[in-house]
Amino acid sequence: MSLLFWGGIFVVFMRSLGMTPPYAFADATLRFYETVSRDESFAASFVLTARVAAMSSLAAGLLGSMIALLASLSTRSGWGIRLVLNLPLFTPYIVAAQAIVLLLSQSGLLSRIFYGTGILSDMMEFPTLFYDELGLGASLGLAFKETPFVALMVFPYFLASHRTYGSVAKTLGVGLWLRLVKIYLPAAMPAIAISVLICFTYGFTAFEVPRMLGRTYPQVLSSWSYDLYMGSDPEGRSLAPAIGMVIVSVNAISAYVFFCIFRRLHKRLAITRAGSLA
Amino acid sequence: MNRETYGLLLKLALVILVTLLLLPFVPLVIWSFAARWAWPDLIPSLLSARSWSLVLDPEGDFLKGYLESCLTAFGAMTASILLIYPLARWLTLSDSRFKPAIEILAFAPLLISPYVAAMGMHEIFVRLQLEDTGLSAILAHTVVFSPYMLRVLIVGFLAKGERLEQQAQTLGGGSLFVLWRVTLPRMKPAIGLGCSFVFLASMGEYVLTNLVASEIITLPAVLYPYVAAGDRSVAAAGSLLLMSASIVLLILLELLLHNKLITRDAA
Repeated sequence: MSLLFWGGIFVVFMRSLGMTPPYAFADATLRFYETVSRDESFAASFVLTARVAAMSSLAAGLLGSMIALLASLSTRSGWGIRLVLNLPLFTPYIVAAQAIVLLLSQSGLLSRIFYGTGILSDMMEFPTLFYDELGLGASLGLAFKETPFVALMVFPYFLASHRTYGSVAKTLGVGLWLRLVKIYLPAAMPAIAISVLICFTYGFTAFEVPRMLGRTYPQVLSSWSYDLYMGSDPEGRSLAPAIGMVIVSVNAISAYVFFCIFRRLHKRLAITRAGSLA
Repeated sequence: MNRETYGLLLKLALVILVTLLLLPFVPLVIWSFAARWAWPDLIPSLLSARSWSLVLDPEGDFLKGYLESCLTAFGAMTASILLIYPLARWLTLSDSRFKPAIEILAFAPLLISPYVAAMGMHEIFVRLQLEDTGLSAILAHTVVFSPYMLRVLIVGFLAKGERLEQQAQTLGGGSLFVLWRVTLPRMKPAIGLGCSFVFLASMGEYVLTNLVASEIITLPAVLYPYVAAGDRSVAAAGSLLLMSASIVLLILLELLLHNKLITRDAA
């Protein structure tokens, strides 16, 4: 199975070098990468993609960690919270994007409520969050999906640290802030980092949400590449793999960082486990 | 501030944050019943079941797409569990020096753009003359979503340990017997969780299917034009139809896992 995946990546890589089967290295050319990098929309698209991925993953990391921390401090097993968080987590991207527009667009439910309560006097006073240049709407949509993911990933670490050192420190009168800095955050940090990284990767490759909530120009990389690939223009079709490889290279970098953190996390777990056994 | 108000404040903050995450579903439900809902009305001025009757029309595209989606998701789920179960078991038990490399290869679809891989896979499917078939959609979904299954199963195997299996074998249980009576019952929660992850991810996928099998019209593909065209009412009803599978599965899963918890407590 994994062969099929890597085979797919390999085919795209060969295509991006302009090679068709049977692959002969003599035909290799960097022409497509050159064309793509010269294209003025490339820089805009790349920056937008990176910004959307960064904004959404950081927001999700912050909100998700907050929810996880609060849940571990104030519930017994977090069972109910976990159940509730599953709903947005399991919501398809198309539905999530749709739902968030209905809530937060200028004619959305929130703007209606604000008008009804007299905070706003006109629809136009509600900020335009979607179809914007900065990718704010796309980030919001992604963060909505990613926040529960981070919360669920991080929750066990907060809970474990609270049950062990946290509650002892609390009994001894240590305030929340100090416990947060000295106990909870250090325990959960690697997990937070990993989840944020996964979200970043998701954000960088995301398609539906940025496409539905963003502008038509500049587009995020995967959306642009998709259009070229599906389009009828043969020159465009040959550019799509090159853009794809740009996405994959950025993914590879974050994957490398991911495995570095992952290994350290496992080592640390092994040490604490050995310590508790001794 | 005394301890009680403090605890209450924490709870309040938690409730607010979680409510924020659930809030977007409110307009989705209202819109699915709205025929006319102009700004700034808080409730629709005209209600109708038009969208629902369109979406739930037995001859309509929505239910056909729903069936198509369910079939693909079910196929991907079945293929994942059959392929991943042995792999996950091997990865938890083995000390092979190839293990890290295989882990990286197997988890890659989680960290590397599946859409880029799908473009290449499409070409592979064309070579195999599988393009635009349900099988290619199932294969692509299996490739991309099986790492979820792997992750969950590995955690399950690690938590379960091997002691009971060894005991059963020492007592003369055959390998099939051990698998059926000892291993599988205790892996049920992990398998259930893994299956629902794969199923739900596959249900919601649009681009992947479109790239490898554009002839297979899944529910997201039926829904997309309505969303893009801004037909809010139909889009909302279709979205809820798409979500219905996740909700049913969530409830089933919760029953399965909760039962498990209760039996463990009783033991």
